[in-house]
This record gives sequence, C-alpha cells and structure tokens, in this order.
Amino acid sequence: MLRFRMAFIAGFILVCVFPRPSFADGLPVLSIDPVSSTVTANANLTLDVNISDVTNLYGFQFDLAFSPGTLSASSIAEGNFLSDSGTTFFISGTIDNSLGLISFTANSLLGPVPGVDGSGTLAILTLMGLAPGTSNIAFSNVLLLDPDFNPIDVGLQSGSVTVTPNVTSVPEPSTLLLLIAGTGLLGFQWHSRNRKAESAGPISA
Amino acid sequence: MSPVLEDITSHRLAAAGTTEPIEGLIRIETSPKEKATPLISWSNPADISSGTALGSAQLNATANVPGTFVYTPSANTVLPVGSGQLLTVNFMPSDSVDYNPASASVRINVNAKAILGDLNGDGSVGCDDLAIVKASFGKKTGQTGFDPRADVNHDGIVNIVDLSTVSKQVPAGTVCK
Repeated sequence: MLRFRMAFIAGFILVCVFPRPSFADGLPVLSIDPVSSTVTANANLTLDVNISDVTNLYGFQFDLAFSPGTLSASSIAEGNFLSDSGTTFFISGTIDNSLGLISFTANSLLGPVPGVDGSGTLAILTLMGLAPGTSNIAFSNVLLLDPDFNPIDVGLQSGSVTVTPNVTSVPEPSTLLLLIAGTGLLGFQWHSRNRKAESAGPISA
Repeated sequence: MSPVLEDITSHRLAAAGTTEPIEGLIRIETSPKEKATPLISWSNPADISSGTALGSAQLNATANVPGTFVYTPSANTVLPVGSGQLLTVNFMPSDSVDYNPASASVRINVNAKAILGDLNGDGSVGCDDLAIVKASFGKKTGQTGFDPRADVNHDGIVNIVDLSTVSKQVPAGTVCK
C-alpha cells in the first residue's frame, strides 16, 4: 500500500513538473523520448527524436539545442520511421558542442514515392553528461514536408536531461565483511602450508 | 556545249548594195538558254534542347520557284547534344528545264535539356546531385560553402525543400551512401 502511494506521488510530481503540452487535435508532435531522463557525468545517454500521428511525411529537418556546460552531443543517427518505407537520404547535421547546438539534421525519402503515415523514430541522439545540472533539449528550425514539398504543421515537445555527479562506489557492509573473511581464510591457508613445510625438515639426497 | 541549227528555212537575207534576195541555206549558231539557279532562303534555327525531334520549325527552307526540298538529316531526327550541327537541304525545282537544282545549309545548337534535380548537369538525377545538396546543407547565400546549384528553389538557403526536391527525382529504390 505504501509502495502504491509512493508511486502515485512520484507520478503526480512528474506530471506537474513535466506536463505534456496540449496540441490541437490531429496535429503531429515532434518529441524527445523519454521526455525527461537522468545520466551521470561522463556517461552516455541515448534519446529518440520521435514523431507521432503524422500523415504523408516525405522529409524533415530540425535543430536541437542543449546546455553546453551540462551535456555534449556525441552523434545523431537515422531513425527507422522513413527508412522502413523506402530508401532515404539522411543528413546528420552539424554538432557544435561549444554552442550546444545540433543544426540541420535532415532526412528525405528517395524517389516519387508516397509519404509515410503514423508514429515512429526520426533520429537517435547520443549525449554525454558533462557536469551536474539540468539541460533542456529543445527543437528549432523544424520543417516537415509532404511529397509535394508542402509544410506539415507540427507541435514540439522538448525534453530534459539531468546530469548527476559521478560518485565512486563504496562497498556495502556485507560485501566488505565477505572480503575480509575471504582474505583471512587465504592467509590462514598460507600460514598452515608454511608450518607443515618447516616440520617436514630438509630433504637429504 | 555544241551549237544547234535553228530555223533554217525562214531566214532570208539581202546582200549589201542590192535588193536581190539571196537564196540558199544559212546556218545560224546560237548558244542554248542558260538555266537559272533558284534562290533558297534558310536561316540558322533557334537552339533546341536534347530530345527534340527536327520538324517544321527547323526544316523550313524556302525557294523563289516551286520545287521539292530534301533535308539531311530528315524530319523527326533527334540530334545529339552539341553546337553548330549541320543541316542541309537539296532543292529540286519543278521546272528542271529552266532551273538548276540548288542546295543550302544552316547550323543548329542542341543544348542539354534542363532536368529538375540534375545539379551537376550529367543528364540524370542521382546520388552525386544529393551530395551537392548535402555539402551545402544549411548554408545561406554568401556563406562559405554555399553552392547556388544546391539552392534549387532559389530562396537563398539550402534546406529540406531543396533536398526533397532533388531526392524526389532520384529513381525509387536508389541507395546513396
């Protein structure tokens, strides 16, 4: 019961702190998934750039901004939403970790083919935690096109990444006891062998 | 050309200083009538793009007398890309007695057809053209790295509109690395 209450409270806090933006009915949403995440300093984190409920998507581009002191971007790779429907031409864009900007990531289907409907992953972003803090992952310069190069209206949902300190691990008390006991046992065995060897005396030819 | 005997019975001549007619045969040598050469008018046709068949807009020579025109190359021929290609016409006048055959020639330029998305002008749209867009992607007019060929819609920036415009012209199923 206590566990259930804790989970409810945690969920309530998440909803309050990171409310899901409301978009017009039927409007596709470009989002960071998960919307909030945590990574320790010097560790990597992978985030998806997702699209939901889109119709007739042929090509897209976007920029992503983040806090340069908190995170650094390692790479941005193609998601499978378009490539599952045909061949594509993906441009990963330019990563500027001093500005905290990934600019002009883009992808387009190839050939006179129809656009793609539905929801899925457009790109996969790999970040590394630099220093403790929280960074928004925010979209800009977003353009989605249908096969006739008409823009598709889209809602944007930014993400958030918290970087926690990289604390050196301390062994649990039980682990420590086990280690001491093991070391003692090894020492005892070594001592016993030495005494046996001494009592046997030197071997004469 | 050998002379011809013309109207040998109808000529009567009088000797100088007498009214007595002189009877007898005389030979009058005359030159044959010279044939005229028709005047052909034909100007260099306007440039055409590759794939255009020759037709009345190009093969439109005229002559000052009736006759028939035989063109080389003939109508409906599709010329390769190239400048200054020769077109000739041989004219056969209807009145071949009074007129000689004639000929004339003009030159025509056949330009490579502008293909949407063919940024490097090689006559097809493929990965090389997409690479041109990629190299300039995100660049604006005046910025280092901006390639005007990549700005397909001429809006001053190379973006997804240009990329998709080119990519749509690539044959479906093409794989570009």
